[in-house]
Amino acid sequence: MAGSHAASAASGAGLEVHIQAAPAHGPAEPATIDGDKSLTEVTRDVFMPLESGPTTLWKVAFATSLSALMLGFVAIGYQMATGIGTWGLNRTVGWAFDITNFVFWVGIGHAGTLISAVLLLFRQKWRTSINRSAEAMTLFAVACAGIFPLIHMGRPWLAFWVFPYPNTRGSLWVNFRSPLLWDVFAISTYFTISAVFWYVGLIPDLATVRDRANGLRKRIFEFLALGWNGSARTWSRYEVACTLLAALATPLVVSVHSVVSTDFATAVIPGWHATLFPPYFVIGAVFSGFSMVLTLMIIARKVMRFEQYITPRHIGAMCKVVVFTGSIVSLAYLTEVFNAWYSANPDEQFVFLNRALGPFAWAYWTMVACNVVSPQLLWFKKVRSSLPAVFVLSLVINVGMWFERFVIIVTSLSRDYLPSSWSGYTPTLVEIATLIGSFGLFFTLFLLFCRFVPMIAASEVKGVLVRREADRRLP
Amino acid sequence: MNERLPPSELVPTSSGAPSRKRGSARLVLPVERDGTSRRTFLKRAGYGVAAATLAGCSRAPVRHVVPRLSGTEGAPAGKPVWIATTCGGCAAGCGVLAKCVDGRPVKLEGLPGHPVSQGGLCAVGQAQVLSLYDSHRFGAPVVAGVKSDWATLDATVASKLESARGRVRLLTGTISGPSTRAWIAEFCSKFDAKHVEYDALSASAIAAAHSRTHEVRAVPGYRFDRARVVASFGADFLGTWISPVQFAADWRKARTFEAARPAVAKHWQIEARTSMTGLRADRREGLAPWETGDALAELCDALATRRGTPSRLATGSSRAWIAELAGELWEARGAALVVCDDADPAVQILVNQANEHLASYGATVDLTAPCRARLGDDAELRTLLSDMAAGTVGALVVVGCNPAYDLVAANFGAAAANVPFIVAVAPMADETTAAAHAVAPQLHALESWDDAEPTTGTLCLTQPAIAPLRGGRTARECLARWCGDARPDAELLRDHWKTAILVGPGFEPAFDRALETGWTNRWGVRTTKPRFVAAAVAAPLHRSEPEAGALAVVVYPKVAMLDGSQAHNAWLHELPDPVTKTTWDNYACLSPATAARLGVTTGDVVRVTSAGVGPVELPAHVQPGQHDGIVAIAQGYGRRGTDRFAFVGPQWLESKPTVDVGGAVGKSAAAFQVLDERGLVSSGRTATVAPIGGRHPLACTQDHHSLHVPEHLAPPDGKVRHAVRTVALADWRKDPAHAVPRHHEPADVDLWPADHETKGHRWGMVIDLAQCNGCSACVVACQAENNIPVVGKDEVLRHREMQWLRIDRYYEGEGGSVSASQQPMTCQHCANAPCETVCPVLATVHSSEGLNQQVYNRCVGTRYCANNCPYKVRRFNWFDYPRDDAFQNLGLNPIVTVRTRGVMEKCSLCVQRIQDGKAEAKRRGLPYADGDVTTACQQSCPVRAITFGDLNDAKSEVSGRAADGRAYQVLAELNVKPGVSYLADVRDRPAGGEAGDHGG
Repeated sequence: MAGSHAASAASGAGLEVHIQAAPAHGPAEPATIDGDKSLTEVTRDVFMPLESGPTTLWKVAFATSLSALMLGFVAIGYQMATGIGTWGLNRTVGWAFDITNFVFWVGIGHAGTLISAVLLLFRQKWRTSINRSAEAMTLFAVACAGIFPLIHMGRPWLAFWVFPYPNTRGSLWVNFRSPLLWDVFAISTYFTISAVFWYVGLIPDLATVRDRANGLRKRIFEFLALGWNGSARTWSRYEVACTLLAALATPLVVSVHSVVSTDFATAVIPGWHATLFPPYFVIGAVFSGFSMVLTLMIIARKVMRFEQYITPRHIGAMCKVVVFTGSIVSLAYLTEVFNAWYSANPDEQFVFLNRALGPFAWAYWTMVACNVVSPQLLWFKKVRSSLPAVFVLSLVINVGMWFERFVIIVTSLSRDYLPSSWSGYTPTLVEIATLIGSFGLFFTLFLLFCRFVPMIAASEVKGVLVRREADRRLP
Repeated sequence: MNERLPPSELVPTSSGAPSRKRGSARLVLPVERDGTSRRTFLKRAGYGVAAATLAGCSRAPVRHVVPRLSGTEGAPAGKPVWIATTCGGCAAGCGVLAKCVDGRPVKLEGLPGHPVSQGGLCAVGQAQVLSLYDSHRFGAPVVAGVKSDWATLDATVASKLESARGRVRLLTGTISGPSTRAWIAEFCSKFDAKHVEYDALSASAIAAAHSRTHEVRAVPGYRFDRARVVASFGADFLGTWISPVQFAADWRKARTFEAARPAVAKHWQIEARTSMTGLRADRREGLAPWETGDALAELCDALATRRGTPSRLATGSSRAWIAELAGELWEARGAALVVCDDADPAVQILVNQANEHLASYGATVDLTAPCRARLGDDAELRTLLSDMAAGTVGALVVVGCNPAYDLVAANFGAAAANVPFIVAVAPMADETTAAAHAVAPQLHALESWDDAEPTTGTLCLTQPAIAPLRGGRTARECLARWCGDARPDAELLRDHWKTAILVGPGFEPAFDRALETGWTNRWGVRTTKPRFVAAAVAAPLHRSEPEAGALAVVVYPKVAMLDGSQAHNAWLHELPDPVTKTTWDNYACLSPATAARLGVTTGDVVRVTSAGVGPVELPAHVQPGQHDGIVAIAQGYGRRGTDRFAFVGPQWLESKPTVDVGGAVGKSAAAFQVLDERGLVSSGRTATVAPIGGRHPLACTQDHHSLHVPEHLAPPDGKVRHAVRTVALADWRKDPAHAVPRHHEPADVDLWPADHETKGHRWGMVIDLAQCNGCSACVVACQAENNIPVVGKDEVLRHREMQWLRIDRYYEGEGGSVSASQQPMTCQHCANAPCETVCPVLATVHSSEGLNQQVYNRCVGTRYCANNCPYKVRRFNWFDYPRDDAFQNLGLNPIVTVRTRGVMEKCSLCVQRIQDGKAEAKRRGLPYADGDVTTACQQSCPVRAITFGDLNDAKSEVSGRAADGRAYQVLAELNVKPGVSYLADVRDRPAGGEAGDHGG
């Protein structure tokens, strides 16, 4: 995998520390960074996109994303002005694209937290080149997700009523029994912690940008770097803060999607009312999140020319996570069906027959094909090491995970207890435009992130390089 | 504070660029540099947030709703005044109480104790309040197509009538009111005119048959309450036939299903199309329209044999069920009743013969007090039309009917072209006013003085509930003016009553009492009992069935639209039909077999072609239970001017108009009727039906029509849902307390104490499925009471109808024996309400009296409550529904909030009426008594299927019924503890286990 040519040992100049990619002892471990990078080269490579003009590829990608975002703005604006009726919902199916998109985006976010927090705590060094963008992805995904609970309200201008604050209405409190309220807390906590964690992790790199910049740019980054001075004490504080935040963020990986799943699990609707939901949703979230990281990294390493930092080793590792979580998701699907059969509850059994053979069978089988069948290809090393194949699979899995939420929400609602109220569901143009808009927002933010913030955690990468160097020098 | 450090202090840092390294001596080094410190950062961030918050704070506009401080005379502000009057929706003459608030009638209710309607009211009656505030009503007379005034109109009409003296004809619908009839007589004598009456829903054949068999031209009074077995040959007597509210109320008395004193009359329905009444029957048999005469002849023969006077009327084949029917009828003779809606007097004679055999005359068929809701004589109508065609009619006065629409089949239009002067008295523009030379605006019944005599001897008074809103006159006033009498209308009526009805001293108090009660009995009516003339009975002409490939067209009235007179009423257009559950359209009903043969499904456009009739293109509707040989089309559609409803619903990017601009709601089927020597015949033609490609989606509120889940999706133990439970009569009789099959009833064990303790009242409802026939009066009553918007066809197609109360119709059985259960479904006011726990902002909460309440102004519209409702009874305001017609808005119930977009709503159990009832009891200084509060749906129900009251009061009617052996709760297995219970349906069908249960 990695180029294993030994670099010349520390070639003198104090600042130019060349390092050997392969460790000097222990089992041979593939390198996380390709090429024989000096620290200066790392700095140059990572900060190059910030300091040079955008590439044509970036411009094209940004124009496309921004157009999609604008389309979404128009759709949401129209919907806000006209009413929720501009969506295809009806008296039976009260949620469809809106909450599907919400759960989808929240799920995407999970990989970022998992990579940056859980893998940090587990000292997984390979995470260093992807953690920054994975965390950014988390933030942007949660931002996309956060739109939907807001705009799905009939009267979004009163959305602040879901916050428990002292008020002049009596004082009228919120309903602490409602899973939607738990969502409010879970998502806001998640967003806050993720944002702080991401920002704290960024500070050393922001300082580097500051130090390399002039003029207005310098002033902006001075402000953003919070006076970072690189002292040992600062570093020490920084490490402690990062570890603490990682420890705070780690339970969120489990809790956020567990809470989201209670939106369904606590309801009385067959197909929603299942105790399996919290772990099922969490693992699904990690599954979809890693697929999205794959999608993004494969694009970004190309567009931003980071092939040597985001290496096939990263891709391969993530593929293994995907096939692992994908298999658990498949198991969850089976468990759901088994529970329905074993419950001897005909309403519950009907839900699964209806999913597989009813009017939305196409959505169900799309989900199965994408989430159960397609990840199994990743068992093959040949597939894992083929970037085009992995890229396509990551897209397929994301489609599948979107459909998973759609199937859970729409098929369960559309045919519940009283046959008189069974109905179908067809999305309107406004809903489709809103979904496109959320992708637009996601990619617009991500592309801006690539241009204006160091996309790779240079300080951490250097840390890995320095440690390897240190290892190599050991007798 | 730029502190320069010596270069020696510069060391590489992880960031790769030279940075300052702090030595131990510099631990206290100020960190601020280049003007930005943490402190500055925090300040800026703080200012930023504060500025953003301030920018976001602006006061919402405040709008005040100011109640009136003082009322008008006799009407205290905000307090309703109830006025007893008579419904003008059709000629049945039901009594209504008009609820007037601040001088405006806002709701009609059944008049308790009324001899016709007995406290109930139908959907059409309920909707009359909307017609009152119809901005399309005429505001001024029209002369020669130009807006004019009354003086011009009167002068024109007087001169035209004078010049046409002797050749004047007066054409009306049924007018039973004696005062108007007196002025008709006066008018006829003054202008030497002839009065012709017809009914678009004709019962002329029944009257004609009785003039032959009993020498009395009359539609008898049918006494369903006295019947133990009813055989209805096609008569939709619970839905649309003659006086459905009266018949339904009477029929209820014959079927109480009370364990203590059971009355369990049996209902046979023998019909070609699938009617609401037929779906309710204990036994339903299919019979093609051309076979009615043969079947009745057979029945007469079978009854004659049992009577010992054998006859040979029948020639055709024997039907298996005839003997059974004859046996059951014969067993119940003296309390048996045969009714039929056939338009052929020869067939009706056989009905009379059957009733004669069964000793029904004097018992269940009353000729001494005949029904006067159908006075039309189709023979006279034919004469009039031939006179008109011949050009011997000099002037035609059309009052309160629409012959140009109803009589297309009789070529009224061509005949009218030969009439030099036509004046129409009509409330709004229609097909007839378009052909008329002058139009006199007619008052709405709620603005009029009038009377009616729906049954001989029973007189009902109509009094205005509001001063005329747009000007106009009653028919009587028009005729009196044209006869030269300019007295006010009220005086005309009063004088007639004084001189002809309540004659003698004591008129004043008697008239006042009649006004107060809304009705009275005619003084001193004596009629003799007519004798049966056996000689009149003859075998009817055998009608041949349509040749292969052709279908017989059956034109039928729908519950809401009747003959088309209600075509401008949006509530009635949006009312799901009790049988098809479809709104805003009529369609060609085909049996499943016929549809399969033609290769069409519901919504495919078919062309119905009949000799002499322009082809009519209609969407097909596949109707279970219908005879294979017919195509049934509802009349009353395709009315001129109904394109006004094109944009009745919300308008947005993907919305489609309810009606094509310039089109109409549905298509007229009038051309398929026939006016011949028999009369106005609705099932008179044969036609070919062929798909022409193309779709016309039908806005149906129900997608799945059975309690059976689709076979390929059914788990072994879940083939059927148990929402409706039916018990066979024999099983119920055996053990009324335990007859109802139980399914997954929860054990009476709870982990937690009751969520809500209701110490005072606990409001609840019981709905009797054995009584409910699906007439949907409750649905419109609820719509009127609770200001429920009309959303239009496109929204209904998107399953976004707003009615709080729906009636679920589930078919059962196959072929001709298809029946259906009708289940009114509304908020169940669960004690463990799934909606309440999931609302994040507490917008739906439980009241201390057991109501599940929706707080509109707290609702943010997440729709989670609706998703989590197992009954799916919650309705969401997807848009701000159009309320632009200020005139129409006068009819809104001022005590109920009009909801804005984005909030959830649902049945409140008429909480405003509960509060009113409690306040009224308090004002009287009495404790609340059972019956002080009625909900709108309960009040309107002609069969009293709905009981409402306090479940905590052990003596209340609702508690008693909730403890009935038939009581069960829908989805009780979810342990949501609904406050609404249902009483299982009871049908007289083969007994045994769950045979009758939809779990069979």
